[in-house]
Amino acid sequence: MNQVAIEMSDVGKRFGTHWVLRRVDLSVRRGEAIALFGGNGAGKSTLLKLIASLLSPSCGSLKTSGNMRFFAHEKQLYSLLTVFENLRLVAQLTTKRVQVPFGCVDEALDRLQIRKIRDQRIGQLSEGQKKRVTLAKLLIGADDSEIFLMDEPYPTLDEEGKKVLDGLLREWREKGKTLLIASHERERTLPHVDRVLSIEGGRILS
Amino acid sequence: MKAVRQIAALVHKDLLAEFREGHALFSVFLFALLLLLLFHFALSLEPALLRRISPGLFWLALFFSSTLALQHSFGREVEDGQWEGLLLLKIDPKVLYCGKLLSHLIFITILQALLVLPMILLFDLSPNRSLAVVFFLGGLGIATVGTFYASLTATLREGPLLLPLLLFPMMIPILLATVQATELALWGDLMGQKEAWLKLLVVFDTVFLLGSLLLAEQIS
Repeated sequence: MNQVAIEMSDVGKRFGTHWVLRRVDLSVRRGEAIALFGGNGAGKSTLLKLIASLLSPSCGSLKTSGNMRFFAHEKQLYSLLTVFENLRLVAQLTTKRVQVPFGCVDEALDRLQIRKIRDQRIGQLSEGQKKRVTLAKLLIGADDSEIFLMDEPYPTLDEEGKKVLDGLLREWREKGKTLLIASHERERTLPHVDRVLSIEGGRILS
Repeated sequence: MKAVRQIAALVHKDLLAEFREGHALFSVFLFALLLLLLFHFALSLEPALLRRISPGLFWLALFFSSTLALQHSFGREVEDGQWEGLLLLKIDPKVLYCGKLLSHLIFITILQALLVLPMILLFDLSPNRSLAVVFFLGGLGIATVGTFYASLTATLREGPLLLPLLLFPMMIPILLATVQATELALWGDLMGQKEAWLKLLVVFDTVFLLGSLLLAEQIS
């Protein structure tokens, strides 16, 4: 079994003439949890989007092995649909079973404590509530995923939401999932990771 | 089976959003109606001549308004990274394409139905059953090519500008065949030419559909 979950060698990403990432070498073992710290515009989101195959590298090679889930900066929710309809859509699109397991939608609603807003449209929710729904989306089919990429998961969550997220990260670690968390919140993120990387000006420093 | 369920889920999602945002359908219908009115008054032709060219005016109005609807529909997919969210779920791009295509085809069919009455009133037309096949094949052609180019340009900053530039030239063969078939369905087909235009339309639709499915990977 391949022990490497993510392997990047000499990867660069350029938008027009501007290099957002330069000569990135990164190897992440299966089950490893890494925090990615860096200021705004340092290249954290771009790095995660490259790993998630939402962007292609301008140079270098990038290999990943295993199913992946990406908690992106954007909410990726349909504002005209309700919380339940958004989650049901994910269940319908991702399940491999003949019958759609709608039970996982209920489970996600309970885990994120958003059952009371189940029938509200996304457009009517606060930013914190939307973030919880995005996290709930991540839970659907999470058992089949090995790698979790988290882009700034803490901001806009209230204290209760942050605790729920802490619980999820702990659970994924116990299950041996690979985590890559880009964050500004050092204190909150550090207990969940084995290794810390700093990124600045598109280069990984440590 | 899985693909069918995924396509059904995507179409359901689009129709729900469209239905809840009812003003979008109304605005697009109004736009098409205004185009027909503008054509009617701006051309200021004799009634008989205006009636003669009305199939062309109808398909042009339908095509322009459906392009507007397509841009609106894809705009909803990119307002907060929803399209990226779908791609992240590792759905086959062909499934994504088919979902959007079906939603757009349903939208076009509703628009066609809504535009029939104004066409009768403005151009004194008398629609018949044989038009249904032409409407379906023409609508499918517009939806097939439109959906492909809209999904290609959806995530680009210049997408709204690029879409008409890419789409309009590709629509010429479909519009030509559809207008000819509509004219023959309306005014009678003495020389038996309608079938030939319909066959040509079937070929165009098939080629564009297969081409779009083969190139669906580019969507991602």
